[in-house]
Amino acid sequence: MMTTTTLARGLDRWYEYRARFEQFIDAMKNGPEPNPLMALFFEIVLDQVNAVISSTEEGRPVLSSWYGNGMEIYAAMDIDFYCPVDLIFPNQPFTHDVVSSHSGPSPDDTCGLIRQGAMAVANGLVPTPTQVIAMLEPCDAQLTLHEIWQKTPEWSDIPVFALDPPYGSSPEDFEYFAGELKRMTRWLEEQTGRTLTYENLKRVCEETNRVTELWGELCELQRTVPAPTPSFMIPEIGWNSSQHVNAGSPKVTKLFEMMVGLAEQNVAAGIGALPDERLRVYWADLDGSWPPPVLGPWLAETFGAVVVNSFQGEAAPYGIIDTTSIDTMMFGLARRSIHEVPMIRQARGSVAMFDTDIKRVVRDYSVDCVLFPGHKGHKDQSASIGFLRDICREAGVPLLAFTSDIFDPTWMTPEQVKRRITEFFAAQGWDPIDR
Amino acid sequence: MVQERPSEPRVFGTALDRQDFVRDNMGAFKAAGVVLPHLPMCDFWGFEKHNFDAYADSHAIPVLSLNVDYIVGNTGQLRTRVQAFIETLT
Repeated sequence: MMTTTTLARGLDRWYEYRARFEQFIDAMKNGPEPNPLMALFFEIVLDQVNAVISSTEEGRPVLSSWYGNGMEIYAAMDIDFYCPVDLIFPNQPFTHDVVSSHSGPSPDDTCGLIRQGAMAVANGLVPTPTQVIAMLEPCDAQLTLHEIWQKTPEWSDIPVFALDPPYGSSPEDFEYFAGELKRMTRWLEEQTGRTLTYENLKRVCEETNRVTELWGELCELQRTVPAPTPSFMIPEIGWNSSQHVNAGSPKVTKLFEMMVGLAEQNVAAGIGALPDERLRVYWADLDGSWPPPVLGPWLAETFGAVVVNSFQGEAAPYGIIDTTSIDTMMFGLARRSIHEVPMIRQARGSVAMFDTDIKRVVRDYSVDCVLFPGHKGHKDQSASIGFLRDICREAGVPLLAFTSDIFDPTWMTPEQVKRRITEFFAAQGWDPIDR
Repeated sequence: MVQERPSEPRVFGTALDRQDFVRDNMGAFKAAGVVLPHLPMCDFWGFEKHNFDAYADSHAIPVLSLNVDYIVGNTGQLRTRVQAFIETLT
């Protein structure tokens, strides 16, 4: 048990997060415009913050890991995890983390996510985990980030397990990665003394399956014209609550039920999230840190445009995990980890997945255009711009591909991006709303 | 001989091998410092530099991190920077 004089590294920052999220929840519940949906979302995030804090304070296992590592397994073993970059990004408006990340040894032209991840560990902004599960996909820099963490003195003695991802998306590839997840499980059992049981993994995977089904319903509803939920809502709330907190929480299922209910209500009443939806936009990447709060409202107010969804919020790739046995669940989690979750799905392996996804969303969501933010860390996707252009041409939708850092608003500033989008819209004859 | 060279950065856990390789070569060639060329937008090299900086600090290796381009240009500026670096070594 820790005492106040031996405050664990990184916890002071997480106490700040806790206080901030408590304020958000209070405002969402008791403010002038109560918002039960957002209150529940922040409760889920707060639960995670509290879980990691108390495990760290009391010396229980805490993992540093990622959304593509089968985190249902951790939940089934009653082990908390966090991803070192997760809370850095939503808290950017309240911190100097972006500026700090530029004063470190990583060059400014490197991926903002990786740079801030390195900074977060170097500067002690995250609790020190008891074990690290490395995700060695989808990008090259992801590997080097883990090597940077290993060189950080406070993390140099932490045991690391690295999952080896295959490049393909065949059943053989899923079997191979299921084997990796089993190796990880055995390693965790040795490291923590916790065990994985069939019943516990089944319970967690069943909750994940319920969320997957609701997520699918939500995306189907979002295809309606006008779109029933606002820009970036599904990817921001959905992805963050389902893949960035301990898996298996019934609260997350409840949150998805609320989102589906809200969308159903709007569709039934013929109401869109925007009073006068004029343009439907697809965001072809992760959302990043600043685009949702900055570009979402701006697109709505200036152009009557709604970002209907993004790679991050798209439910179509997800399959149901077969809970018949541990083996079938490991297979389902492997498929999820290397084939279904965003960024990994589009960036690992061949361009075929990119092609399939864009064609589907252009058709399903009746989009007017595709915005490809060209995140400077996503070299793999930027190499596919030619393919993307051809796909959009064939589908008859215009494409704007630009360069940005979706996790660092100082690289290409939001104002520069807005100007690019305005020029692109003008070229299509889409003028700002005349107010 | 090729097999004795360290892996490229795409293989996890091999950064130290590459750093030691550079240090061994410095000894073999009696080099007084290291020039780390940095190609813009190359994440691999950017974060390799991050790791090498710490290694160089701990082994007292003088390092010049040099931003270069994909085409031949700015040769005057590059020469000036390298000259200044060499002067610090002598």
